Amino acid sequence: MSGASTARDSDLDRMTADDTNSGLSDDQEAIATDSALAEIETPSVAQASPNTAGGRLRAAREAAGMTIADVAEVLRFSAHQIEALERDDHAHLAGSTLVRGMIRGYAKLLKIESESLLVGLGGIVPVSMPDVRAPTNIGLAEKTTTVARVSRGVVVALVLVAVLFAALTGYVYLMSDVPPSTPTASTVQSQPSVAPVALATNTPPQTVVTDANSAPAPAPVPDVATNLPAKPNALTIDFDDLSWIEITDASQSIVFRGEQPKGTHQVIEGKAPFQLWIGRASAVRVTYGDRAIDLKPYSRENIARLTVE
Amino acid sequence: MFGFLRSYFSNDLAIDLGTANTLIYMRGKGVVLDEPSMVAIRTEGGPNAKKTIQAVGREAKVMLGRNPKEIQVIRPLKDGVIADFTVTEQMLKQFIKRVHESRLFSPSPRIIICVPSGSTQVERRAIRESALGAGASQVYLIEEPMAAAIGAGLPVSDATGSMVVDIGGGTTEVGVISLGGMVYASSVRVGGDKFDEAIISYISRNYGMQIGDNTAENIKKTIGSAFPGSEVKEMEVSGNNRAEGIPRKFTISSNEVLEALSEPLNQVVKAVKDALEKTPPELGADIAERGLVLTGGGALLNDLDRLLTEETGLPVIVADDPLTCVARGSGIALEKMDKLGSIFANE
Repeated sequence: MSGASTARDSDLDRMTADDTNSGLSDDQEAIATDSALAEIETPSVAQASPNTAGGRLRAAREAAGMTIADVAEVLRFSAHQIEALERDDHAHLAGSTLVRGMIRGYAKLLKIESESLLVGLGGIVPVSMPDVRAPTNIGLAEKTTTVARVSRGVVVALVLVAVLFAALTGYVYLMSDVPPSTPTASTVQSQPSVAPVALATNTPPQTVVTDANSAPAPAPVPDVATNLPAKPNALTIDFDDLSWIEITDASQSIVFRGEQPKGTHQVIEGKAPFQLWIGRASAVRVTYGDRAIDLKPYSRENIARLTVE
Repeated sequence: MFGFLRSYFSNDLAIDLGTANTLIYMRGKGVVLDEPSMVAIRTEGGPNAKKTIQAVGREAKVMLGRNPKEIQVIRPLKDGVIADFTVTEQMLKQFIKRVHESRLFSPSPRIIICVPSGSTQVERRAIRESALGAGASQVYLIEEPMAAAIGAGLPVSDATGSMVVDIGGGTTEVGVISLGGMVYASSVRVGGDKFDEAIISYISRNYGMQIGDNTAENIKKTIGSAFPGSEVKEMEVSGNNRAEGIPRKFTISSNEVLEALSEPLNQVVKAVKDALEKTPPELGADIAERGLVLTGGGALLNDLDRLLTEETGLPVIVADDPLTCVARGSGIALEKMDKLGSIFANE
């Protein structure tokens, strides 16, 4: 093996010398001495231009008066690997790491600069320049205690829970009050002082106010009750104590509203469904047609909101 | 808690937590930090005496050997593993903070961190814990020879043997890798630091002079050599004459440095030879063809490849940019984290 490679070395040496002298006859002679090998080598040798890494290494080796066997002896790569490198035949070498490493080692042996040889060989993972900044942000050298870390987490957790709770409450509020809230809000804001007047002017035809103090207070109830079959859509409201109330009908207009004294008996007619908002639900009895409505399920903190139809 | 939220705002990192240098590779950005693993800590006086970090990395290294009493320059890692847990954690925290732009959330990245192949379970646990303490949401460990081989561009997942020798600051890692796994791995606690120590003790012995760590490192980098070369280089250094007690200048030659380094270098050679002895013959044949690959800062020591070639009779090549090989390799592992399960090490 070594004998064969030495023979090829001498061929190579002669051939490259011929390249420079452009002597054709010697070249042919060289081929004649070992035609089989030369046929393999000649085309590739011709391809290795002196500007490539392999060509420059070969030129430097020849200038230093070394043979491929000498180089192989020092670098411990086999002669055919060195030859492949000089031919720029990287397909016969296993991977770019090996090629680049060989070039670097070879260049160092020949005492030539290696980085320019490696240019254009396709590097491995690109390395960006380290981003170095002065350490202005200087912290405590003591370890962050678990308590401090946990408490920070707890604060973040509490804030998030609060935000979630607020969002949920808002959602529930909006979903439950969408129909009544919009009109009532506008009426309350636009005519707070007009409301009693409106009540006075609009509601009299629909309401019958009886004197709470008079003894026959319960009397109108059976009276109304007897009338009920004729007016099945009438709401009857009795106040056992002072209470605030607001009622809207199907057209979303307020049919009755205001603070009513104890003993007030109110009959409201209109188009169902009615929406009721009662301030002191425990002190108010509501009857719709002949059906008494229990306000308890609709009450929260003694304020009842319900829809009657 | 809410680590998943913070990790959403953090980039995954690969960290080469070395004895001498710490490198951080950020996913999609490459190596973003390369600093000495050093921390300067100031102990404040007064009733509420507390320790604050004065500087980390390069700034701290400049202070080494020039520090007043109240500032302590610490190298929290020794022989490739953690020697000072709290300081390591703080250093990592500072480094991680430095590579993250955002200040809104404290960064909580997923981290791949390298461990020496010979490290014990306790040492690995310490490295994992310090990374978690520095804010990592998850920590994966990778053995240094594997990371170095990936970073050097070796075909680790092929059915061919690759041998990598990673000479770091504290340890020398030798690994034989095939089919994505480590066939043989060993770690000796010899590295750049031991080279420096050898130079310091040689000069102390032969010149009666005391020199500092940084000077010794400078000598090693400038005229250090592992194999007798044809040309002899000289360098003028200054140190304290122990007999006279005053600073003096003197000249040291590359041959003397070679003599000083021979003892730690022999340990490296022995580790490599041991590894070759224990390598299965099929893989040995691959290594004989492809050579063994040198990575780590030690690979920059002049003619180290030549020394190993002569000692083992095998071709030796130096990887591209050997200092960052481990960080780049861990970075590649990070990029392919979800695919490469088997390369990660267990505690």
